[in-house]
Amino acid sequence: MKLLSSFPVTAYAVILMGIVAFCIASQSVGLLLVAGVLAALSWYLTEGPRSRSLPVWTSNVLVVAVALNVLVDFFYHRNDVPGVLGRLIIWLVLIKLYHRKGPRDYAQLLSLSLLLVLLGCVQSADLLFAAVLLVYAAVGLYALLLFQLYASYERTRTARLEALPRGLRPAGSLQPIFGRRTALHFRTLTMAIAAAGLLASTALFVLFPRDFGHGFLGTDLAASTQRAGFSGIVNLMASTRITDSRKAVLTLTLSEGPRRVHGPLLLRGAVLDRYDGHGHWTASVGSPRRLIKTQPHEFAQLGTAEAAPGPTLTQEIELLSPSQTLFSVYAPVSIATTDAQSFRMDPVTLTIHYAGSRRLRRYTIKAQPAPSDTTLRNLSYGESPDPITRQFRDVHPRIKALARDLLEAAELPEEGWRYNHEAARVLAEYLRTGPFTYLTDLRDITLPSGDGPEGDPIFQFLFETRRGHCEFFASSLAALCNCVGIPARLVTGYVALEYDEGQDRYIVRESNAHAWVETKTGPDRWTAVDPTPPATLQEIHGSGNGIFDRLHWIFDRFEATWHNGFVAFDRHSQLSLTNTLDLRWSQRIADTLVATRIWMARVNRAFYLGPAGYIWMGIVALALVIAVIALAKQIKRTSRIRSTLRLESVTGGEHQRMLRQLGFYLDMLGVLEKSGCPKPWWQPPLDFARVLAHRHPEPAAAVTQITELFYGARYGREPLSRDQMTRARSLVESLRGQMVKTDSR
Amino acid sequence: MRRRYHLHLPGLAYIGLIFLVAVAAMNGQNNLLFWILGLMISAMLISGIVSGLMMRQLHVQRIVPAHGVVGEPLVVRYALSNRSRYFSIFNMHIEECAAAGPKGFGRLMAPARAWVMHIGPRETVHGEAVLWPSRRGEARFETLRIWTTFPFGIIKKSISVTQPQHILVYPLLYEVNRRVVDCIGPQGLTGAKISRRPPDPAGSDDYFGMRDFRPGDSMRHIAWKRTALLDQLVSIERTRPAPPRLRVILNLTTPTGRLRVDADEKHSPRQLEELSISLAASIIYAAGRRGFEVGLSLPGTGQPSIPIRHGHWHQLKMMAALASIDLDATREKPHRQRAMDSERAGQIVAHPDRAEPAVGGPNAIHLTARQLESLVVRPIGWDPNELLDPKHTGQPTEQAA
Repeated sequence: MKLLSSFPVTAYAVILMGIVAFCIASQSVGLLLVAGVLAALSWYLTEGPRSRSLPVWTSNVLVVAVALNVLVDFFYHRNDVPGVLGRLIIWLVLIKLYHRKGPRDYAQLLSLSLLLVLLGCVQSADLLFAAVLLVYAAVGLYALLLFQLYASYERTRTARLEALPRGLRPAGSLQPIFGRRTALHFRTLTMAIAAAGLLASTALFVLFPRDFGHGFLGTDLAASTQRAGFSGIVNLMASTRITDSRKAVLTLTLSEGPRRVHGPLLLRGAVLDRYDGHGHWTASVGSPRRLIKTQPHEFAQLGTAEAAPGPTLTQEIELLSPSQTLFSVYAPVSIATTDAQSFRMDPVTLTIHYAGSRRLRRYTIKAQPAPSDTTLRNLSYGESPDPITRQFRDVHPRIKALARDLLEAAELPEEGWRYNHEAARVLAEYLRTGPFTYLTDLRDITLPSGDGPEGDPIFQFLFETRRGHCEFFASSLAALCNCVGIPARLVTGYVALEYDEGQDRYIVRESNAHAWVETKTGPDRWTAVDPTPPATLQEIHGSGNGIFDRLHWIFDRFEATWHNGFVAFDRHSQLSLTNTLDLRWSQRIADTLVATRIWMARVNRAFYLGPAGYIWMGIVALALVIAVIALAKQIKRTSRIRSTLRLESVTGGEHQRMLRQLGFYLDMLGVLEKSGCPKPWWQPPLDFARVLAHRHPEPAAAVTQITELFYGARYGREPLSRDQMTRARSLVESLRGQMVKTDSR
Repeated sequence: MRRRYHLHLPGLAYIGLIFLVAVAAMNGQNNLLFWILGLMISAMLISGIVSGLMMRQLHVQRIVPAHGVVGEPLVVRYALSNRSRYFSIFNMHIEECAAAGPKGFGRLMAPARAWVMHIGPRETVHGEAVLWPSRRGEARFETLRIWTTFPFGIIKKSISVTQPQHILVYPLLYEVNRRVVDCIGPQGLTGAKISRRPPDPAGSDDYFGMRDFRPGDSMRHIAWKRTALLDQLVSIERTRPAPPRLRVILNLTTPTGRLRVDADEKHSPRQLEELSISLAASIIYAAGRRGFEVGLSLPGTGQPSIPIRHGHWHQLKMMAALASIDLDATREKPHRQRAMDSERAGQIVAHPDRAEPAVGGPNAIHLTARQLESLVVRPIGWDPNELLDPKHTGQPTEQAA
């Protein structure tokens, strides 16, 4: 049978899908290639024309080898337990795929596949993985249902063969016993189960209590595998390769003024003003952060007073990944959210952090790229930063000499270097156009060692390797500026260059993480200088407008919906959903009630019914409801009579008469069916009555009489008289009574 | 009818997995795992609901054959009807629950299971279980159990239906050697002893004469020309052959415990009795195939003698008598039956241990169960007890016959 013979292919597809899902979740392209090729080869070898399988001893040896490999794997990836387990399962699956497979083996393979997918869920919540998971669930359900039939068939066949006496051979293979249209019924049932499962699982997903038991195991399995482009610290000694992940982290829409600006938008996330001389940049813990509270859809001022009028960028930012850091263009002046939230702002660095417990999804922030001094004073609350330049007093003399040479070459007098943005720009220009190469992969570079100035990776970048990524460029500029007395600090965040023209918004990805420098150009004013070569910046962080970019943007939209609707669903989402539903239903019911009351009052007035009018209307409404129910029942009954008694061939008045008169036979069949004597569809009525008389003599008399009446009316085409109709009904009633008595006995 | 849900090993493993997923989901607040958890829980609920709905609409009727024979497959059928208009039923297993008491079917045969893959709405399909009876006797079927693990194999749902029925399993038949049958036939050594009846005028073979029509005469036997001539119905009389007549006597007068069995005897007394029953059944079967009229007497069992007749149903009657012999019952003293002596038929007496000339007529042939190997060629079907030597080729000697 085709349905049963399709099981191995379906199971194979499910197993493959499990492997693919895990590889997507763990982003292991190599593993996917190896496992995919081996799995495909297994099908050819075991299910192909020659149908060969692995000997047991070989698979045992392979299992031992895999076990040893897992130990080694675990030693190197202690923080990636799900990954190690997943790889172990993949190898076990591959070994089993080369076996001769019975129901038990298929059960094991399907279970292992399910485990793989569960481990994938621990590792990733990406849209792509979710899409594969959804397909896996659908195909897996079909395979699981099919497996039940397949396993039963195989077990029955084996049991029948085992029961055969010794020396006897089976007459033929076991033929499964099935009714008509099995495949259609099976598919229908599968779809019904899938729909019910989807509904029930969604309901359970929504209702399952959140924030309960969070982290009670002491470790978050997925935490070790999370990647992030943005970082609140910079470690030049550890940066061997920066991320090239295309995962979108946020979208930025400029809602007022121009929708798109010329050049890159630098979104500040963290300001790092502490340097230890050995490649580590951190943020200082200086002045206390200010608490900012927002009301729904109202802008809250970040400074002590309202910002002075000036060119303003209104940025609507949608966070696609959870983040406590808020990103904004310099200098943020006010913030708004859709519901009440609280933030903390550092008045010195003008960086903002989310202070709420639930996940922040979107916020709107206003920034003034060229704020007035008053605005900056209001934002800084009078706080002033520690002098950063003194941290670079002990910097290598060659760095100082280089900075001085460059500034002198630009004919900038030394007394005018401080707060001079031009001086910083000269130094940045040297890095942009000098003998430096932008490189993301620095794994071939030997990092410096030693405690002296030579152990500083900035020194190595400037004078030895001259290769590095944005953090090296920015760190070097900061060092060059600070060593000659120009206060400069490192800023990390994102650079927004990729613009989705369909949605009129910027897409910011993990690979858009960037570092640049801010130099002090006034008492409270800092100005951004980016030493990274602009061409490189555009090449790495920008995007084209081709078909693939557009497809990527479409995918990003789905991913944004996925992240905000599903991945970010939490206790607050549950509450707000409950409130929304409750509000909608309450509102709708209340509206309906009010409308009904108004309508009834209008009718009452129109017909001058007075106070009793409401009672009359109630009675009429009740009668209408009863009439509708009766009509529906009559239609249903007529339809049943037509189909059960096969009246399709009868037309005209005869058809109507039969519909009207032959209901009693249907009633009789209903009574008999309830009592466990259903009439087979293929059996003629008279034959059925005879068989019933043989099996159940008690009701036989009534059944025979009813059948005779039915024959006369249906096939004899004799209209039943009123007396005959009454007699038929009474016979059905007496039959019902008899069957009730029989059942109770 | 009793309905039950069973949680078996895969179900327990599944619950364990649910627990693990719940722990992982709560620990990491992973929404994908929460959804998977919801899916797993809903799969469990759906499993219970779907199997429950399928079982609710199911009606089953056991159909047992008229009889079984030791060594031959006994096919028990189950008519499964789906009374639902919309729901299909999938993956139904039907098995017999062991009946209590000494007549439970499990005493005679190993249980087997029937499987039905699909029953459409308002359909009836027949599943079948193939049983292999290893002993003769009466098998009683009491309760049958229908179960399914569909759709997910997590929960096993079953219903038990009590439908008492019984079936007789006939003794194991052996193919009797041709020469042995020849010997007991009219042309054989004892042929003179087996008398022929005179031609019966009511026969239906060759032309014998004409007579007046009697009610009950077949229309085919009416001589229409003569009837037209005489203006009254006239029937044609035809001759009827008188087949050889044989009475098989199974001597079970000696209780099992008093059978004389040597110490080095390979068969136990009870086995010898069973072999003698099989021997009698085999001779009846072989004689019936040769066209003999056969009768059966069972001295010692208290059962009345079966008269000598010919035909399929008569043979089944004798087989049923042999099948229902209760060897544990008290044996009765033998008493000579005059009617048996007066019937002109050859007699073969089968004894379990050794011949007792007192049983049977003076010209009776006495056979013992120990001679079975030399009298038969091979079992018809499968010999569950393998009482015969496997190397036995079934070439009996003339002397043995």
